[in-house]
Amino acid sequence: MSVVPPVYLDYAATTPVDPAVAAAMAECLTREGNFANPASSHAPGRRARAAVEAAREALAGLLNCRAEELVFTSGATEADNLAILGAARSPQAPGRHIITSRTEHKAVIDPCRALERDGFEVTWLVPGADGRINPEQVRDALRDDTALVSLMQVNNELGVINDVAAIGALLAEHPALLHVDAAQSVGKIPLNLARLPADLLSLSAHKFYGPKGIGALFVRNRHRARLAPQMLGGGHERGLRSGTLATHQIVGLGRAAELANRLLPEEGPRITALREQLRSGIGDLGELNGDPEARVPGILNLSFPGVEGESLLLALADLAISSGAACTSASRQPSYVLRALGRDDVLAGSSLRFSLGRFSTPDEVEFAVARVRTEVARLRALAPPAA
Amino acid sequence: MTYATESGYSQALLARFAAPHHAGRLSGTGARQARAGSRAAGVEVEWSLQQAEGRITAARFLAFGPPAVIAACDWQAEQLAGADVQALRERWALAAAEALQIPAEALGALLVAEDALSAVYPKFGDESQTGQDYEH
Repeated sequence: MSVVPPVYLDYAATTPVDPAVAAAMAECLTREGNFANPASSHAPGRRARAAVEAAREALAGLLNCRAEELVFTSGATEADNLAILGAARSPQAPGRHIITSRTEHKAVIDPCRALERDGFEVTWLVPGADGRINPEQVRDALRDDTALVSLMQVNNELGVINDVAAIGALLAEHPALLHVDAAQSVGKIPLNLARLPADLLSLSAHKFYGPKGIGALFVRNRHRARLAPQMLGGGHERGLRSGTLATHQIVGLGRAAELANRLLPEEGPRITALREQLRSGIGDLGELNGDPEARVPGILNLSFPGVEGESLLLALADLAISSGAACTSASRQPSYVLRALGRDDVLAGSSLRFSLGRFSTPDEVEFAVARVRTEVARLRALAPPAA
Repeated sequence: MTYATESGYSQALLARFAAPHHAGRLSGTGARQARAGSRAAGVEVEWSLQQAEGRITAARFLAFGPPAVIAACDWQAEQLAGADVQALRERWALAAAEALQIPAEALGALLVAEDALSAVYPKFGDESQTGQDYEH
């Protein structure tokens, strides 16, 4: 068995850069490479610009949209902020009401909270027990003054998929914009913006084997004027996001998008099979969080009753996984996503997210199964039986 | 367990957490048990002990809780071997914390383990033959 601990099972947190991506990026760094400022008018600058636009085309190919509809940002967090704050603060916003959910990423929750403090009204939808937002919930929350609906396509903790196509269809006759945080779906499941009625869509390269620090916001052409830029200083990206374009990172994102487009038909089923290998190996030990079927290939989130979370995580230190709690300097905070699903603090803290990816192997999954079974049994045997 | 040391815990704590030699439950007519805490609160500890002529002859624990609690209970069980039964009434969390370099933020959970151990003492009643009154 060729497994070297710690075994990386945290692809939802970030992915290693694909070697082909790293090679493409390396060509844009040194004096001999494509290092110039893409905004410069001289030959090296035009060469850098061409590389940036080729990457934009590659990303557009993955998403089936127009290249001009893609705005490069520093990642999904910035893209989310641009979408939410930009749409809400635009003079063309139809009102000051926003719809989102309690289980969004903090990159969506925090801008929405900031808007609340500025006098916007926010409706916070609560997912069902399956972790998904029902389109009827959005329909029931819609008002005449709703300016924006912001919902993630795939929940980062649970892996469940929201039916954003159905949600978008509800908004067809409404002026509100639909923003989709697609950080966990781009490159993992097929995405077709020619059919998906999203007006704004955020993504991050480091979730699909590209570098950290680069992402994009899709802005449907007809709504471009409804977005107020949040980063000023030079008018780059057709006025929506100022700042010198990072050629090497954009080239990396483009190469990652090309690879994702080519590999997705094979990779999706392969990673799904690995996930099912893991689920059949440890599923009997815990409770699955989120819909068992409507989920991306690589994410599995289980709660382990009768096992304390910090002890479980330490016992499994030879696996790189995420727990259902975030550590602060003095305490562990249970996952707000799991709490929203009705898990109590202890059970939320005893939850683990396993996320598989391109470089995961059956041997690694077998190792993880063995380790989890051993340590869950050990810690349960260590605990006092029910009184 | 080199990767576990990046957790910030000491090697001594990690070793006892990974392989606590005094985990378990004593049975038999001389065994006395008590527990404190709850799973809902995140820490629950049960102690079971045996004594003879006022001395602890065996100590075992079961614990649901963070690594520091498991390690500290294992350490304390070792200290109790041969100790006077009166030792069950003493506070020991700080000594365990020092011995195992337990971070300050984990000390609160150790108080539950202390409470569980001191709750065993009155269960020995007059068996300890120490001539001392005991507290409930």
